[in-house]
Amino acid sequence: MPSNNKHNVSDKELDNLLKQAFLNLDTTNPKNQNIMETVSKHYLNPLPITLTIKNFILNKFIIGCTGLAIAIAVGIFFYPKKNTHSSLVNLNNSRNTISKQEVTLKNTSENNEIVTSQLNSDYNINQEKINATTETSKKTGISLNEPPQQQSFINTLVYNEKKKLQVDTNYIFPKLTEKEIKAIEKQKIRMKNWLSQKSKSKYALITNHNEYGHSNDTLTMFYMQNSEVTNLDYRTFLFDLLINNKKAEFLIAKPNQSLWLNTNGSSRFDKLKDLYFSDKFYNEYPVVNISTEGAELYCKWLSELNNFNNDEIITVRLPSEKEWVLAAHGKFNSVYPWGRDSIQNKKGCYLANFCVKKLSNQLNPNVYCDKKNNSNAYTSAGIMIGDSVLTVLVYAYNPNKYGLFCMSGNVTEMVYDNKTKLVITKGGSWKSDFEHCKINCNDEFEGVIKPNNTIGFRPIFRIKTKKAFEDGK
Amino acid sequence: MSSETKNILIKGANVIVSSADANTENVKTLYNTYAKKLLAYTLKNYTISKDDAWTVVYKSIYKIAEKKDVYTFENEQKLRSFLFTTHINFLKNFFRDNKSFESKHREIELADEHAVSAETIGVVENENLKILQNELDKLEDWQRILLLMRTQDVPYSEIAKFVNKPENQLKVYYARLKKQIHESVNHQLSINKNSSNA
Repeated sequence: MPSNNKHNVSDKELDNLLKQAFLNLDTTNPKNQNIMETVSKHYLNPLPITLTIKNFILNKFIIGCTGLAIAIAVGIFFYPKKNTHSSLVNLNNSRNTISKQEVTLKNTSENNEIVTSQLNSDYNINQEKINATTETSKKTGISLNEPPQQQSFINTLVYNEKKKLQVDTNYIFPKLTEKEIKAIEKQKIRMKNWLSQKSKSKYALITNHNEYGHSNDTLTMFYMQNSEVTNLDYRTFLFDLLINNKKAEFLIAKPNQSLWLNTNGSSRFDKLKDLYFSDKFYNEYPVVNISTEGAELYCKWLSELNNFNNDEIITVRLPSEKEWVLAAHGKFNSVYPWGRDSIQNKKGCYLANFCVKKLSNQLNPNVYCDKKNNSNAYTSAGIMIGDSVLTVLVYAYNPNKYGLFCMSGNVTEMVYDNKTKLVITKGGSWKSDFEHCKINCNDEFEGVIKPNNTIGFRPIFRIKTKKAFEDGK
Repeated sequence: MSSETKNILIKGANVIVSSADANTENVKTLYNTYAKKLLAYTLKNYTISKDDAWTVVYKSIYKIAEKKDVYTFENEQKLRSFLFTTHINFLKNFFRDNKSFESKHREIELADEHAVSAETIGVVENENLKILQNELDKLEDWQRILLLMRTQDVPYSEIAKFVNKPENQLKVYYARLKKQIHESVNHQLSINKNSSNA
């Protein structure tokens, strides 16, 4: 029975109504002012001194214990071991151009593996221990431009049916620690719950009811992720593939972080190559440098996360251009998602993250931001935060009426073209001028979509009941 | 300014910009002292996203920062009370502007025949609220205060000072009052439903 036909309120609903009633109190009434004062005393008073001191001591104790534990762990980790060398190896995604290092190897006929303990964006592998059991151990200085001898297990993968996918046999897959695997599993469960519960914190419901009456053909209600896919989400997916030994798909989906090198002709952003995808500071930043196949694999993986014990089947995919435009409009029919026809508000402040250097003569003077030192920044976010900012948090700036963040600017999003069904991009990015950030602007890449540090994506999903799915509806 | 603060600030960029004239020192003081407490209160008591909660908190802080040098407060408690009242008003506006208190969070089935529009749910909730308000108006002052303060999790010891009743009896009074209100509201709802069906 739909809930709006109930004529009883539950306990929980009554609590909510009472909270609403509290909100609706007339605060000009002196009696109610006293109520406000008492409630504010409860929530806003500083803690009593004894409690503050206790908290202070407890906090210091916890910090001290944590620091000691870390020191012990680091000491054990770095304690010199016999017959091993640690070396840092830089790997390019598609080539074996690795700086030369001498390594001590003990070959084994059974299990050659390079054990890593740290994961970096382009899989800089810290070789610290190579297990082997053979009668003779070799000490070899290896030119790492040649495939390491330990690649035999990857070679066997290549000869599977998936060799059509052009698996890079020279690629050394990272090895995840138990702690990392646990963290990935935890995040995966979180993502699964968001999806199956259609959590409002992650997904927005898009309907086609607006005053302009979009046609009702295939655009019934659907859910759209309220932000671009983040580095954390994508990393969870990628390493879940690795955990499940889907190495060919892993290679297709992994981002090409070397595309950060020489961004905008500057070496200032080169550090993003190692940090952007794997450093936790960038967890909530949009994932970039991925292929369309990678995005589609992510959507497929996300669909499979849904618990099939429910009566629902969730199909996650990239949105079509029509769906994206409907969602971006957010119940208005304006040029930008926030309902105005300008990328600036009345004070001249920017409402999205885009390139302020392009078409700058057409932008209004920014009275507030001109006071900042970063007025020469490349992006609008860079003016507010720092000169070297390119992308920003996916939840930056105010959302549109559907609750979707950064539909314009930040990263341009992959969508399916209405006619050709090929992947194009919409929405503009940190590198685009304000014209390309408009909702109805054409694809600035003109259909040629390659991995790029300005392209991200945002999936949508629809739900079918299991019965409808089985009936073929 | 730390990178974390900057990151938080960029989220409320439009809010900050609209209060560009606020005294920065006042803002910093208020932010450091009250922002997290206000946020915790908002998230605890109302169904609102963290971002929206931050936006409302920022609005309140900037409003007070503007007024702090204009008004004179007897003591810190009065300032806190003023800040809290302002925050409540902004919350009220927020929920009013976002149509309804709860309708965003109602589950909506996707099958077309069961689709329920947000406007319908909003209408139902407004009626329920009106009925509750009527029932609350029938109560005595101390009873109404007890009910409303308990929804804000104010401890009985504080309420006892306010309503001038023994603390150990307030729990019983509260349980009875809530039951009484619950029954009255449901009774009124069923009367309304029967009269609309008639």
